[in-house]
Amino acid sequence: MTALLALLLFAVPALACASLLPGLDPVGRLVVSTSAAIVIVAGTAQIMLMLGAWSPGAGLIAVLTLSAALATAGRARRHPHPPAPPPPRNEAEDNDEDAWLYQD
Amino acid sequence: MTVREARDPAEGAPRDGTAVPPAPGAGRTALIAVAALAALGAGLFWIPLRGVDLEAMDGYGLISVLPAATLAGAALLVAAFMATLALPRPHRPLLAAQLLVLTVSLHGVAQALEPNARFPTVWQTAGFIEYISRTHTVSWDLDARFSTPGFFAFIAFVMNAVGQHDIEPLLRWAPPVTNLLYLVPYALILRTLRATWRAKWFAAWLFVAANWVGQDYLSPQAFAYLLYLFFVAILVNWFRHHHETARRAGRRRAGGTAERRGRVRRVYDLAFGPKDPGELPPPQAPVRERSVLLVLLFVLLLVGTAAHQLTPFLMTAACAGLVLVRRCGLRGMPFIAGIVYAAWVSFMTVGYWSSRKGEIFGGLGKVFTNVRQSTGGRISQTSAQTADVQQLRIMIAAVVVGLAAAGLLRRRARGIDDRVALVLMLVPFSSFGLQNYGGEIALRIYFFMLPAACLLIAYLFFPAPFDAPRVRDPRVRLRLGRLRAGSRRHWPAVAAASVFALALTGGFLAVRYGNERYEQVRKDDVRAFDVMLDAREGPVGVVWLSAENPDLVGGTPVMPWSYRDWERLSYAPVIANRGDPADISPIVQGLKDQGPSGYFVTTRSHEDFQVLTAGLPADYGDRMRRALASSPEIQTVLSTRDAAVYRLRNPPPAPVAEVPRPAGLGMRGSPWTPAGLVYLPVLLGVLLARELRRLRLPPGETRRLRPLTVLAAPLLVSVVAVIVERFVVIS
Repeated sequence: MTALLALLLFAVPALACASLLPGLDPVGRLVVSTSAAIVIVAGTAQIMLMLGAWSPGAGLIAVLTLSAALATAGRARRHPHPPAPPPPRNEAEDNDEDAWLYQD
Repeated sequence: MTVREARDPAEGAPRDGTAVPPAPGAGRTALIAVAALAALGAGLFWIPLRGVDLEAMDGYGLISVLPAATLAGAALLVAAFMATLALPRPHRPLLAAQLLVLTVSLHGVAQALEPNARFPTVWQTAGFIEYISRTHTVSWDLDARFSTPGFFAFIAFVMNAVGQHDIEPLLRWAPPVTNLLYLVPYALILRTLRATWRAKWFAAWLFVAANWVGQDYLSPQAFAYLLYLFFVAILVNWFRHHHETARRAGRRRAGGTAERRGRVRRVYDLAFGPKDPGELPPPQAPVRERSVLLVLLFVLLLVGTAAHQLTPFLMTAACAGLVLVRRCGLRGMPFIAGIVYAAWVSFMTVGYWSSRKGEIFGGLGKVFTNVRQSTGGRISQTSAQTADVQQLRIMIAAVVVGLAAAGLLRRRARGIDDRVALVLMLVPFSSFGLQNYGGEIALRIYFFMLPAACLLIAYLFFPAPFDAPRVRDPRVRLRLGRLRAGSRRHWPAVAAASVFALALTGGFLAVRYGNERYEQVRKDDVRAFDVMLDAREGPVGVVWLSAENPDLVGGTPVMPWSYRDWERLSYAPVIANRGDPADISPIVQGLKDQGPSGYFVTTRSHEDFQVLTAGLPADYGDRMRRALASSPEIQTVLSTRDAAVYRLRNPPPAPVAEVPRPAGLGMRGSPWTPAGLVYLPVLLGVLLARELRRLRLPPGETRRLRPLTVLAAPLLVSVVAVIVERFVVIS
């Protein structure tokens, strides 16, 4: 039960962060969201400690609020996404007029 | 340059699932055979462990009592994984499952066998966490580790939030869990590399099996290491240059037309000659995503700095190294990281540096002393068996470094320039001159080197950037062509890698739990501290026996000391009389010095530690305990086989110690400090805005960053001035 609760504690901020990163590949998005969830929870605890306002309940609310804010930000900016820009071309090749000679 | 852009379909990098279509029939049989082999190995490893007698353990540690079947099971697990690598295409679920089983087996075997969470130091982590949960603050004057309390606060918060009040399961199962977590960012690092799937999966396997240093327990170091891996993974995935350069062959002198040949030229080419980058082109991500990732990098830095004192330095160095070799586009990031680190040290760890300015900077540059203390210096007075284990550790570390260097050279000989791996391999060495770190810095360096070292070792066996084709041109005569073409062309490399993998696994089981004789924590060890804390209110002065002067060797009791009620416990060592264990007069004197709160505590693990590492006679503990029990001055509070607690029958009424009140983070002020507290966030904001702006600029337009640079420069000077002023004024 506690393991499930702990999983939930990390899953909520992770999902919120994942909604902020629609442009990443799935694996990258998953890993980045995991790391973001960890630092959000750890950062909340650290800030509570430094401000002298230690309270696990308030911390939980802070994590949830932050997750909600992130999810809202992710949702607000979710518009039909333009296709990814083409990879930048090698300028050296573009400038070189004889470049076509060496392409195979 | 087509080589870089061409993505070979058989390359099988974990990012694309399109590989060669499977061969029906034969492939499936091999797959089932490999899975069965792995299952058999896991069964052989775990089932015989029921009958293990931990009491029969000798100075070689856990390996001396592990049944032969368990060792055979470990060998089978290795063989099954290597057989999977020999298959013609990657079977990711099977490989991942085996990696999981291996991690749990190697890093969980002692935890499963022992009645309590192993190894005394983790119990101090429990003490810090308990202190924060109870007092809701920290106390910088109790321990230097309270100056970087991020990790303790994190665990305390999570435990309180989910209602888990017993920390023991966390302490116990942290090593396998953290090792599994490390694999997550490591996979992200691996996928950016130009290598075959065999090299990548073998590197991941090595990362689990070569991590014998035991820094993966529930500790700030283990947590900060995870953050470090995430930090590096995000950097190398999304913040590399648009087009990276390695020196390429000039058009006139490419390949066969090179005129200058000879040995010198070949060595020169190996080092500086034209190469292809060892990394794949970075995955494309929209600017908005990269901005979010940049902010995440910054938060990772902040949290890492608040959690551990060494890791942020390595984050800074890794980032700077990647920038220097042009594998990271965030040129301002090392400055941000360095400022965050310096500011934390200046503002938050005052209690630590103010009292020992000389000592900290004394460690600077004393590289040779550090080498000796970290490696050989640890072996002086130890018993033969413990010394063997230590030698084996040094040997494994040396072999790992040597093979990694060989792997790097082999890739270079193939014309591949592994700059990311090289930087990550070299960066940890920069911390050598930094700080003495209790003679432990060599272990840390090995630990931080591992991600790159494992990768380079995998390259030694599988150096190709993509799979060699199955069919070769029949007109070209290959030396040993039969081994190098056809469906079995990978077998020789896999066989060589298997030999190394088997040796490494054996070495792991020997050295990881090589000190288990004194690193296990028995139920009565914890009980001894409960007895002392429950017997009276207020402070407890713990007297403990040390064979050597602990002020010189930096020793602490090998017990779960201070696992709760940190502020009530204080410690006073007495130095053992080597000649006569029955001479208890130093102990009695030590107890008298503690006044009414004095207790003498000894445990079997602690006695074994003194015997194995400091050369006390084997029966020293027993004879000492007999003498204590029979002394009229001493009252026995607890006496079991594993632990004993004694106190004076008539303790003196003075001195009475005070229980220190929580002192907080101890951020002390100086005249310029308020200004620093204003400048610092502004400076970090400007630098972060500068990096965010850089992401939006087209390549080559960096001069448009100048306004922000001009704004940042005076702020930087001010912050540095405040840091220097604090260091000079506060003492």
